[in-house]
Amino acid sequence: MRQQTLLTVALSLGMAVAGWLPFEALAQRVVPGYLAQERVEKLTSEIQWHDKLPDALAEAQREGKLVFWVQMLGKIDGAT
Amino acid sequence: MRAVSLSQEPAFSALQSHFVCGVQDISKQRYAGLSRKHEEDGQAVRTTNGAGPHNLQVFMLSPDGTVLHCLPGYWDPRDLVCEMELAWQLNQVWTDPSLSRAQKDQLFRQMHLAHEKQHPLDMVRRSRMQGFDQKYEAKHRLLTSDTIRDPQLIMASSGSAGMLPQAAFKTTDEIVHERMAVRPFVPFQQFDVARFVDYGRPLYDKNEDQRDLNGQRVVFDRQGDNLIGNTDSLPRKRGGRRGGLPRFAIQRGLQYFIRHGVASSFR
Repeated sequence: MRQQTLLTVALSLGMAVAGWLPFEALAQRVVPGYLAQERVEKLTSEIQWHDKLPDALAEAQREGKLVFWVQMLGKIDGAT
Repeated sequence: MRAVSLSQEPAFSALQSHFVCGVQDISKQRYAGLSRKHEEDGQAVRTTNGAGPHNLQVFMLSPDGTVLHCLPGYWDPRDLVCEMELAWQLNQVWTDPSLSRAQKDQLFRQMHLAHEKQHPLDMVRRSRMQGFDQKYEAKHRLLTSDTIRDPQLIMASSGSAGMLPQAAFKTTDEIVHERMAVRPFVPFQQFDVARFVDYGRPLYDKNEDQRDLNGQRVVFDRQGDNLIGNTDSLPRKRGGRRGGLPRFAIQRGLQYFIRHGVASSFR
């Protein structure tokens, strides 16, 4: 029984090193709610977000920038 | 799915310095997918590049509204910046008066395909398609999907339980650049978003609020599921109320008649 457990652990480690396990299983880490909220507040307070594409394009032409246009379910500063 | 990753470096500084930003709610768009509702202070989960393509899309546009790049779903901030650099290079091509339209289109294709070949290994590893999306593609369009590199490999493994072979699928960074390469310098209003973002299942949700900080799911509560997005994109369940209220009313009426009408004839 103990040998089986050791073998399972060894195989899992081997597969992880070889990249056989799905990356999502290794990479999936949670951002706590308070931190996620802080990040969204930073994103919305320090960057102006246009809600009309023509306005964003006009500003980009004035400032010589590109437009970064996000389409998403829900609102960037609220519940989604 | 929230744009939490955009506040992370190096993406945040790049956004501040080089882009004018905008956002639009696509909940009512026909190409939108579905997600459970998440509150402002709810947890978020780091995921793989290109996850949730129907629910989130990022466009990088020239100031005249021409699409230089489109990234469906979540993207790691490091990889996002890598793609922003390409968008800037493409904009230089687009605005170069010495090039013909045909030359610009050719460069657009070449640059997208070459960029994908130069992606660092870490980025490629972060770009594996989600397992449930792979299953969806294999089940619904095994022989026609451009996300599948080797259908034979999937068919050969179909007898065994568990994960599908990764090697049978393209990575999302590969899919995105290949799809962009056939859409050179398209005006935003003419960009076929529905086809471009169409891979994987419509519902994307990682049950973020039911996980501990290590990402392990510790609560399995499906009560009170509150979906946002395009509910028409969900396949109808068997036995559901198909045909809407009129059909339901007729069915219930017939059931009542059979139960009570037949019973009364025997009295």
